[in-house]
Amino acid sequence: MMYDKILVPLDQSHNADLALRHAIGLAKKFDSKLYLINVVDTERIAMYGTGMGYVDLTQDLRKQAKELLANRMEEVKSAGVAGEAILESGNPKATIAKTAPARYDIDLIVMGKSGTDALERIFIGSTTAYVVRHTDTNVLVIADDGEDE
Amino acid sequence: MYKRILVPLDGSHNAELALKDGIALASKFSAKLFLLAVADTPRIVAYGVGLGPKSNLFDDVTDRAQNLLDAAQKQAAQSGVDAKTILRDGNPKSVIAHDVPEEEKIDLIMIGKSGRDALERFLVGSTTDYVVRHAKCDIQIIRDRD
Repeated sequence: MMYDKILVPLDQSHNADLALRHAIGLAKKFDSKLYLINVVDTERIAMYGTGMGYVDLTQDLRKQAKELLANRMEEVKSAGVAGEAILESGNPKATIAKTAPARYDIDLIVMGKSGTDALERIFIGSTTAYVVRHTDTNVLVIADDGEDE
Repeated sequence: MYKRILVPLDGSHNAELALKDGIALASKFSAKLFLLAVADTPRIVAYGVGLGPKSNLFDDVTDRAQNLLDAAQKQAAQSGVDAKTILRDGNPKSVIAHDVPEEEKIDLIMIGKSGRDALERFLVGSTTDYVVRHAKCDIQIIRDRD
């Protein structure tokens, strides 16, 4: 038993940080390694950012993602937990549900229930809903704590 | 982290996996397990009309559910985990997502992926989907990786 490798998808949301805190708690208990992942949504960028802006925007987002991952890795390290940061580009849903769990042999995905935007917060984030439906890996969905971003 | 863990059981393979992981987690966190079986009375009424005396069918389902719970409780005890068994009538979705978590102050539900039959899944979406959407506590969805 049972959680050697835990995947935690991160974005800028409060719920993602909540999920990370839970994952750190589990990792301490089970001596697991955490894989923090951020996926730069290049498909979405391509939709809005045709033309010259595409490369700049992608680079901006990758830079932001790198900073986010580095920052959260500090949190993991200071808790005495082993961690690895993964920066991917592509479709976040498919990457989190399928590609990353297979590549890193993940036992558990820990993610927040709601998404970043207000509409998604009403029920369940579309990424979380997608991952629960489509992944072959166990998923731990962390409930909202009622706090706003 | 977790003190009161709910595992709904329906006899499916994924529910068995959820039980196994639920026992392991409860043991690790010194948590109490709550084992739940729901006798789906609306469904029995829907399918059971004209099949004979209603009470026999209810008794049958209830006996099977109680056996499932007893076996699971025994399995937990073998790992030194204290488990309470709960047998309910009603709609599994709301019993699992709302009623029992609120009554027992559950902080984590361990649920097998799509424990119900394929037809219902096709028509209205699985119990698991409903619980993930509506329960207020943490939820872990367990599936067979093979």
